[in-house]
Amino acid sequence: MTISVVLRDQRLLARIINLAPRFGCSLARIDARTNDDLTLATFKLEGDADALRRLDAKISQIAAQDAAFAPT
Amino acid sequence: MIAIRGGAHAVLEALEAEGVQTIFGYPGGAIMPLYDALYGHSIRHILVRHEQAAVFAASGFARTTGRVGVCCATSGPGATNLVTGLLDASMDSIPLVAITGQVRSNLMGTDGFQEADVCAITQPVTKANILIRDPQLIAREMRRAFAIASGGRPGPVLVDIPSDVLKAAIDEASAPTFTIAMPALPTLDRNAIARAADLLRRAKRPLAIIGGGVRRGEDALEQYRRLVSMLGLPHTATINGLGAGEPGDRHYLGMLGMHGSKAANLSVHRADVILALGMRFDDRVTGRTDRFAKEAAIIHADIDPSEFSKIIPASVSLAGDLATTLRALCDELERSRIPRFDDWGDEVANMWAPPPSDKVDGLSATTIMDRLFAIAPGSTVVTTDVGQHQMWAAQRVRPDHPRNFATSAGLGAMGFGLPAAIGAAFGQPDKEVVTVVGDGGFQMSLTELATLRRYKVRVKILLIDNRNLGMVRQWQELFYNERYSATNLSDNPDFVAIAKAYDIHADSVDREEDVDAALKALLAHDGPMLLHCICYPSENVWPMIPAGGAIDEGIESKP
Repeated sequence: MTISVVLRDQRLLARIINLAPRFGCSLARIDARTNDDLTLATFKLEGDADALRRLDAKISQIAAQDAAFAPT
Repeated sequence: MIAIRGGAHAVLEALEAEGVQTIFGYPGGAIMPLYDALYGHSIRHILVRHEQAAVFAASGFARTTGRVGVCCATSGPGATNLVTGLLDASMDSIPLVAITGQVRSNLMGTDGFQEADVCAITQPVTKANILIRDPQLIAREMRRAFAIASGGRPGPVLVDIPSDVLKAAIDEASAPTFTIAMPALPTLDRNAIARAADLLRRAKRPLAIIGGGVRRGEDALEQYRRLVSMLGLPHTATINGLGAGEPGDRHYLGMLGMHGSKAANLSVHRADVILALGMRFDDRVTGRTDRFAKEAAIIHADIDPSEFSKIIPASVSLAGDLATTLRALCDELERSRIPRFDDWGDEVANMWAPPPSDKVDGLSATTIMDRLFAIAPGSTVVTTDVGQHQMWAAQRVRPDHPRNFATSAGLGAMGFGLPAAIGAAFGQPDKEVVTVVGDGGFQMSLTELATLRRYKVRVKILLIDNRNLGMVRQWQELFYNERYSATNLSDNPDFVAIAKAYDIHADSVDREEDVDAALKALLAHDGPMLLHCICYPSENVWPMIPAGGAIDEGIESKP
């Protein structure tokens, strides 16, 4: 499974990296680059389908919260 | 002393702007500028005796008022002592803002005295954390912290501020203007509402489960009560949803789950449609997930879409604010004149029975609980610690509002009960506040008797002392061949003497015939008081779904 997220808070990369093994998944590849305070990160994750589904939901939650509360 | 408007003053102004009147905390080196600004300030600071009590008190305040609770601590050990409380708030979706002092900016990363990378430490236990390096950004970041804590699904936010930033002068002219937009809640999905209504229309045995989401607002509570009364719907609650049912509603089945009522658990097992509202299918609720409500289509309503199908697959997902969702669903059901479910509701309500108790040779803790909740009105704010007494209380408490019961539900953090009651008492000064604690958890927080004494907080402590870590002991008895490893507390101290040493009025009871009078005296006492209940040591909590069991496999006594 490949997940791409846009993050305002770069530290969330570490959060996602730490979450993967907690869900019984492993990280096969991470790509991240930052432009204009936004970090675009792509995670290639491996694991069983149910674990990947739950991890996907958690990462989506983190990314949504990060996006929702950015100052303007 | 010259008053300079520095970063610390900006923090307090930000708190005032949020309507904060009371904060709970403990001072230390790095946060001294904030404490200096607090000196003589209108924001009331409540000095606790351990930082963990500060965060639990803030949680008790938030849980019982619906407002954001605020606590503060210094850097390093002060900050790390907040971690358990932050995780507790995160698990139960409680809005908190924790402010920590940090070492000076130029010391950060050098292993300075009392330095901890608290943002990294708390990342998994907070909804967000914010390190403020620029004093000009304090107002903006504090506003953001409160918006995050209370917006959408609530949760804890930690704000870490180096001491030099707290001391730095604010340049008013260059302070940035800002807007923090509250995030848009998921838009109501009319099609999903129609599908949910259709499932209910065709249902024969529907059931509602209400969770902590109902505490988010009065509107959600009102719409929930409207729904269940409109349909004659049988309903049950998670531990965080207790109090959502209208007092006296005959179709309310009590709490479900591991120590839930037989009526609630068997109704879940038999239901053909389940409305799961503002709850997240915790494992203490579901038991074996592959056997949970196998005959039911699940309609899951939650503010956090990531909860859908996380544990239990949902047939219909209703993302959004619970009040909005329930209002739309009620309106749709009213329009379609759905028939009531009184027959089914009466059938399962007839299964309800008081929770069974062991026969004991001594004072029964369940008798005390039965009597307490018969005497205390539903408006009493009740907090608990964690363990057997928590379950006995949850089985019997009949709060008239979900904010009148506060417990560490998801995390199950011992030591919660007393400081949470202190926070509740400051949040609800006109209400009676009772905390039910066990002898294990009380010994994790009894230093807060000093806080009770100092502020004359009218908290009543009901100490259920069975001289055991009772819940662990119960599991050792039932599942570990009665090998009672490290659960015996037979050398407990004299709790009445301890309370009196803190100048707290205290009494004890060890005979059933004295319980009513002792409880009445406890509730009537004008000030903090401890009632020490010397209970039979090996009474168990029933019913119980054994670990790994399914929701229909509850047992009512030792096999």
